[in-house]
Amino acid sequence: MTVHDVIESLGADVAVEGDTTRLVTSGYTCDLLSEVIAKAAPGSAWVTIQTHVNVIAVAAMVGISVVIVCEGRTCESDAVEHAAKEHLTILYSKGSAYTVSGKLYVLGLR
Amino acid sequence: MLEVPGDLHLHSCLSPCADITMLPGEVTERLVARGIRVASLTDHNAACNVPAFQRVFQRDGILLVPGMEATTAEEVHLLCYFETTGALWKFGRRLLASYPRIVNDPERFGYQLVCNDRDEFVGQFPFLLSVASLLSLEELRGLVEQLGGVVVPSHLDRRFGLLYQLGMVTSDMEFPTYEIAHKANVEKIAAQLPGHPQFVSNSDAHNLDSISPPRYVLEIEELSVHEVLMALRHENGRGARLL
Repeated sequence: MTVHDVIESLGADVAVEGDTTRLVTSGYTCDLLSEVIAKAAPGSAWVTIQTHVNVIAVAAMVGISVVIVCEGRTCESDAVEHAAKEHLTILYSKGSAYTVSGKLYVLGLR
Repeated sequence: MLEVPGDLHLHSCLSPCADITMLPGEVTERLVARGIRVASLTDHNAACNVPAFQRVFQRDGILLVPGMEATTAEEVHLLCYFETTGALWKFGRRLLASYPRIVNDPERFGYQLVCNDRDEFVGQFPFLLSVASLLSLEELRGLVEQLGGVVVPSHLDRRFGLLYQLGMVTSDMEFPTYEIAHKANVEKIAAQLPGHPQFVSNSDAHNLDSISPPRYVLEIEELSVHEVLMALRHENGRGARLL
């Protein structure tokens, strides 16, 4: 599936529309940035409540396809700017990391 | 008892998130103008710029407390202070051995520049410094204290602060001194902590404009690192008082 499919299925708000044709091949849910660097697979949808600008740097480094920020949180303005530069899609969801991860799992992301 | 204005949390151009203008001469000029007498360079997880800052501080009459801001496995930021630079180097080596070696991409995370005491860049630190150590909060604290140092948890009222990351401070992990980002938060924060801690509030400056006038004084007998550490341990009548 692509980032576009994830947007359609989750019904989350699009904070930054990056390259939505990118493939999403797995998912990862975590708020510790160092853990994401170590464990998340390239092509993942990353589910987090972190909103710091480092989220974008970590996502770019790992090769994350889409970041889903949960609990109605919003990214800081510098994070939004960086995401746009990296063509990284950021979604905002009012749901918890648990429910968003569950939805992605049901969609077939493993 | 002396009342000495302090700023024990400053970043230099070594920290990837700090401005590259955070050089010893520039920083010292502003500290002097603000009336700061005791200061600590506390870069993230490394101390390569401490010697350059120490020389310039010394020249302009500011006491340097050897320090670093370490990141625990829980991504809690801890200010770690030592009696001597020798103890700081020992700590730095142990810490370096405990974090993942990720080559820094300066375009994404920021430059990690090593400088000399003439405000010149002399090198780059190769591994990403905004990573978490594999040492837990308790392990890291144990290591600092074993080396005769003191730990002050950073900005309790902000992201990467102890309360923010771990939700609470239990009585088995209380600290004598905590840092708060905003003085206005002191009562709210104190109510969430065990015991009767004292607070400091440093600039945590990542750029030159953030170097602020003193927000607290250290109550010490004489201007020495030993006395400052006693004040941070809140012992022998030494302490810190928010202004």
